[in-house]
Amino acid sequence: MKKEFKVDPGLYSEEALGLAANVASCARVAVKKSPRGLAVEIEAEEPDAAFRDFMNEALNQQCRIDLVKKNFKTSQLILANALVSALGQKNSREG
Amino acid sequence: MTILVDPKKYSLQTIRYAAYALSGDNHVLLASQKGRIAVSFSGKAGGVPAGLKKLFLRELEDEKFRERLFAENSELHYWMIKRAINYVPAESKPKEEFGLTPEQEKELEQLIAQVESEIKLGKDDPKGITKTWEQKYGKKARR
Amino acid sequence: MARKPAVKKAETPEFRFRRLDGGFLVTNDFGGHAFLSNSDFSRYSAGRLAPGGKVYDALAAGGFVKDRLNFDNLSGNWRARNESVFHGTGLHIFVLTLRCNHKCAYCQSSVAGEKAKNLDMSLPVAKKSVDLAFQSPRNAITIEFQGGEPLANWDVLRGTIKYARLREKKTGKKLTLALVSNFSLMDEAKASFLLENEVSICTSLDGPEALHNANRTYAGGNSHKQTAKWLKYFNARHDSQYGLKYRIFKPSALLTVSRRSLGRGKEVVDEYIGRGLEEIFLRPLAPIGYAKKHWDSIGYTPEEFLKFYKEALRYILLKNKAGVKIREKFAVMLLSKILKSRDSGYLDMRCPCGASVGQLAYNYNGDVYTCDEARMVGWGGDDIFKAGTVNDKYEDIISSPVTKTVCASSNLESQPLCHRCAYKPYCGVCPVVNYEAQRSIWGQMPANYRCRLLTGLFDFLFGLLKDAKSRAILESWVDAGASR
Repeated sequence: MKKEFKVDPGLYSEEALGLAANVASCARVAVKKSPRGLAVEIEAEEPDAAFRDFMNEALNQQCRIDLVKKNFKTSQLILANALVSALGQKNSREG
Repeated sequence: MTILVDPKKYSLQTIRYAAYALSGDNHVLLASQKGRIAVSFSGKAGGVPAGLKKLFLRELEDEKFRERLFAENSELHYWMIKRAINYVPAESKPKEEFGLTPEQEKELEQLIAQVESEIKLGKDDPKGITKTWEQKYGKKARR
Repeated sequence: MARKPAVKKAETPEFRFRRLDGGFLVTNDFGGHAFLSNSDFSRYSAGRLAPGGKVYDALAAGGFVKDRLNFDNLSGNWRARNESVFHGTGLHIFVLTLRCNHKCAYCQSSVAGEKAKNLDMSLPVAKKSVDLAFQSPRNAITIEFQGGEPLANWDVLRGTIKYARLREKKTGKKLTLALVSNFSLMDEAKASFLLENEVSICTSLDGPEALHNANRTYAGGNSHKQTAKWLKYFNARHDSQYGLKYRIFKPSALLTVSRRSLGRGKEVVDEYIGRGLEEIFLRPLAPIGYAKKHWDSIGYTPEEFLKFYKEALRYILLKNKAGVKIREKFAVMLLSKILKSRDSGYLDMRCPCGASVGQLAYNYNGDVYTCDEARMVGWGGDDIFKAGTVNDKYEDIISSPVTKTVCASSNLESQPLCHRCAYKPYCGVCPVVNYEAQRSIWGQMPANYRCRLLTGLFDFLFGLLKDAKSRAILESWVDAGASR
């Protein structure tokens, strides 16, 4: 069964919805963009239940996008250090 | 349950995070409603958990505080992490070298040997510096 | 008249907080933690905590006061707590075979029957695996033999051990060898060879006989009897090793907590004590692989596990007070970070996780995965976590998109719930569990099984630290260090 739900583009970005659509388990999700705003089309046995799960995932992705934007420098510093150290460089000080 | 939040009092990020923090046990949906943000909760196990509104309002305040804390400290925090990554404890630092290198020692020994040999031959003392006072003035003092 | 300068109140650097036991726990990324009453927290967070007094001094010492930050100390603490991230891959898991003669209820290794074909690692593949492991820039590496049942591929196991020790001599690296076995195929000759080559031995012991055998079905006999027999043997060999040219390590045992274990924590602990073991690892089951398929019958909720864990740990503490030497390994690993800013090396609990950069799993067929759990997902037909093969260079595996992606997804600085969590300095996420349970390597932490379990565990341990007697015992465990 298919059903379309409107989503406020000021509160959830298209990127977050797109990422959430990849994770959706019991449903096929299509994100639709139009001049009127964003909508998601859910195809599932119970579209309403699937939509609720989907929106939780969308919020998860949105919060991650928000965090990455503001914490990019520190997170990249830690990640780069781990990868570079694993290649045997930089700050290895093995006893 | 729907709680209306004033976006002038709490940033959108704060509202999202506060809602997100409670999304483990609840389905959460954000929507705009007459200039406010409506945060709707429905319990995953059915109904709405008791005390949810109070919990959410508390989360909003906590998140607002965290946002301010982050804004005030993010640069310092980044600098401290960077410093920690590059940290070398004192015992691992190379010790300062005091004294001469082997080459310098050898050179000095050669120099000393040269001076000593010249002294023995009397060559290096045109002004009689190495002579004692008695050697220099002893006969005159006995007048 | 000159005005007295205003007293400088404690300004706060970045910190995290959690409501706990009627007050607040505050932590920071640099090793500090403190318990505050509601009123102290209120003053501190508002920047109104005046200097002087125990609370202020404790916070200043922990790196919670902005103008009293000792950068050297704090840097040192952070570094020590994250030390394992600064070196190359240390743990190399060799899955010598997928064949096994046990049918364990929770087997996460996704094994096949003992007579299955084409599921053994060949010696050429094993040697290539050793060569790859030695390419790690780390000066000290561990090769751990697992399965299935690794003794079922004895010839390759023996050949690999010999080859690895040769490589150790040639390269000058320090090599630790470990074997995880159910002991059912052990005999004197094998045991002697393993001990002479300084292989440390680990087995599974799920509790007293009935519980162990119910979890670990062995068609060839009594699994518990075999385990007990060889534990006794290896313990005796360890205790009588004076004068030998090689070192014999004390054997260790792991427990996998299944639904059957719930409510029987005391029995399990007593079994470990009775077998002369000084350490028990109350390891929760992860919803991956075989265990995921049978979760309804063998799994449990995080709350059920925590109830089991609390009961068992309280009992262990009671035993300690009575002078019995037994420690719980999970607590030791977490508290090493909390109390001593020491990296326990537990690859599941660090940032980023140990995927590739901390451990690699070498499958029987030469495929290399980011970790052993990732290999189990691969056995299920999904190679999302495959980082390469034994024909690749180490640098290529570390630089692979798979490694980078998995590391990125376990970076707590990019996880929304973790970033704000008071337990962030001590915790870690597992992208494999996230993927298996929530269909995304990033996971969704508020609803994440593992997150809920670990949060409860941390709440419990921090609560115990407030009791002086429990704290003293836990500190003594940490000082003694983890045995593996």
